[in-house]
Amino acid sequence: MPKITCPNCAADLDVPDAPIHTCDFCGTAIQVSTMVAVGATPAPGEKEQFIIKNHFIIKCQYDQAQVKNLLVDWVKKIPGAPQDFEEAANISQNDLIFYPMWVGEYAATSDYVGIDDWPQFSHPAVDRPGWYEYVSYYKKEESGHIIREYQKPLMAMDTLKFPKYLRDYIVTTTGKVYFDIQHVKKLGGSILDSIYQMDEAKANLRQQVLDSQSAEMHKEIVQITNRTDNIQEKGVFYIHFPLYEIKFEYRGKIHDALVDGSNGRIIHVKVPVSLEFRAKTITAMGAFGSVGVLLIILGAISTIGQVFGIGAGVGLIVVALMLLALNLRSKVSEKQK
Amino acid sequence: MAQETTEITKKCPTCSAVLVISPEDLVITCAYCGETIDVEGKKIPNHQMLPSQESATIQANVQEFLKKHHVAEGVRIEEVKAVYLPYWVVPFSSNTQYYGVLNSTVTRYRTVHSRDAQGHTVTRQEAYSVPVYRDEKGSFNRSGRENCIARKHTTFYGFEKFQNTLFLDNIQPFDFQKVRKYGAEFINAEVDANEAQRDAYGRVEDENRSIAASRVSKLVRCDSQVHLEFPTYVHVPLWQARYKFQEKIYKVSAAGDSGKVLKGEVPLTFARRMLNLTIGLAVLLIFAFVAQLGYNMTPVTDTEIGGWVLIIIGFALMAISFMFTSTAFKMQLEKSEKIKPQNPLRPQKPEVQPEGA
Repeated sequence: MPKITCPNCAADLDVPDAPIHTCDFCGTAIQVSTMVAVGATPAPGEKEQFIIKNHFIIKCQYDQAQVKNLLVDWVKKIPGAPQDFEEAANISQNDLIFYPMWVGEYAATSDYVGIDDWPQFSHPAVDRPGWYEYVSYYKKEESGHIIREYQKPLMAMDTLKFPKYLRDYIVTTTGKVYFDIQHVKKLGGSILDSIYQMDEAKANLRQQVLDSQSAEMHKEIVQITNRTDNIQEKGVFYIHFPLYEIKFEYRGKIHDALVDGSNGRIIHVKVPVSLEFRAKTITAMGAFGSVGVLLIILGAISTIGQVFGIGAGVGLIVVALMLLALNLRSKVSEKQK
Repeated sequence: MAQETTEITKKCPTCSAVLVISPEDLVITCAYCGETIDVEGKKIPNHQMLPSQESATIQANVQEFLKKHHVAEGVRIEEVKAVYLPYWVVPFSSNTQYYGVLNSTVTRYRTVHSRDAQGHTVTRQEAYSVPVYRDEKGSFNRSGRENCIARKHTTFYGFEKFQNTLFLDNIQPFDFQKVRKYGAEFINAEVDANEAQRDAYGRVEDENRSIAASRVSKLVRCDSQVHLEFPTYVHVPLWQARYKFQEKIYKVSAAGDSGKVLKGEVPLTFARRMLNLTIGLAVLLIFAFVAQLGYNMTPVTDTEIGGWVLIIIGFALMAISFMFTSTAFKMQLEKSEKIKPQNPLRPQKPEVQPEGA
């Protein structure tokens, strides 16, 4: 565990072996790996190069009690969720964690030259003037110019540690303010830091921009042979956003939930299903499935008509499968848009 | 950087009020006099707004929406709040040249020889289709305006519908007192005019490509010349409501200018679930029977076609019955009001000047 001195408040820190660390005392985001490389204590006048100036936080708008209420209200809507959830569920963990992400803003212009498939026609259609029976494609050089504006996010977590439900989640950065450690402390939150150094994050974000420009080029050409990109970096921000990681026990089983602390959105919840609901749906499933199979058999031996028997029978089995899916469903997310 | 700068302030050049701003704000509106400036203090001309309906109207519309969706009794509206979102309205004109391939078919006939039951040679004409192709060059002009949200990573419930139905013809000069009157949360822009123009440029180009692609079978080349004018800065109201029904919370969003509900969560009561399940099963069984009737008619020459029609109708409606059945198992319904998109993405009257094949 490296020992460093915070370049902002001069606190002595034992920091994890990670490229970035947010100072536990003043909240400054320190570029640890850069600092360790040149010596753990910065010389006067060198401080600035070890600090990430554009360090922001998206404030958490809910405390633990409010988040619990949100979760309870939401879970009650889920078919099969136990109605005694509020009283019987025991929340064993309700941690506020500020996750790290990078956001880069870019203005990109690109000139490109490439190869495209160009049509050539043969065998005129005698019965339709101007039309041809064959079209083939030959390679032709084309060029173009693309102007685009981008804002690219990069989740700064190890993919193995990163909750998978967050992979497609849009973090709303509206309302970000300069990082404030007091806000984190007041809510009893903890901070995770980026696994990327700032230069690595910038390289990753820049590559995302280049990939997007390539995608634009590929709308016109099939192969890029030459390109000149002018990627203007307008700003790269290190942002912490609040998530509540909740674990609760219901009737001896542990369930988990993830709630966005900035807007109260339920990102994911593993839902307990009541025994009563399971019993009812399995009974209904068995009834629909049995009648479905019976109709198929009767249809097949032409007692009630083949099409009616097989058609209605298959339909009832589909309904039984819907009930099975409902019974097996365990994870639910709140729609984002 | 850390605790030194947690609060950023800016002095209004008009009334000298000290404004607390967010680090992301690029365009700032004075909460006291309504003056709008950029981060360098330069005034933003022609700041406009859309007036909003009153909170009571929004609540009434939400109630009406719920009544329409059979949720009237026992609804308690817990919260209704407005947010004034910043937009850049970018006027544009564009000319697009495109080139592509058109596909079609021609019907031809060939002579087919076969033998009948008596062993005689029978000759008949058989139709067959041949694909044909030609190139298509064209151009069109498109002008209008792009409404660009002046925020990044913005998501609100119903926001997509809000964007698609946003109509900014009723804009009027910005008046901060009106925003206060609605008790609305006011959001400054974190996108400046230049960024909005670049954003609009990409969107106009993409839409022109999409229009060109719709006119040919395979688009080969599409070039747009886009001319953008300086955008107008407009604040637009979006309402968000939460209501409780049977001790469960649901969301609704409404457009501020019209007051119309954009999107809302609708509860599914037990009775409603059972009704959907019953309708689904009834439709399934009835149309399985219809398909059977059709099947019984097919062996007879006179009723063969009618029989096939009944079979197709029967199976189609059996498939549709699952829409009702699956509704019975949903967590809740998501309903949208029908609002005619008043700022269509397609051009109103694109000028098409085909330049020949």
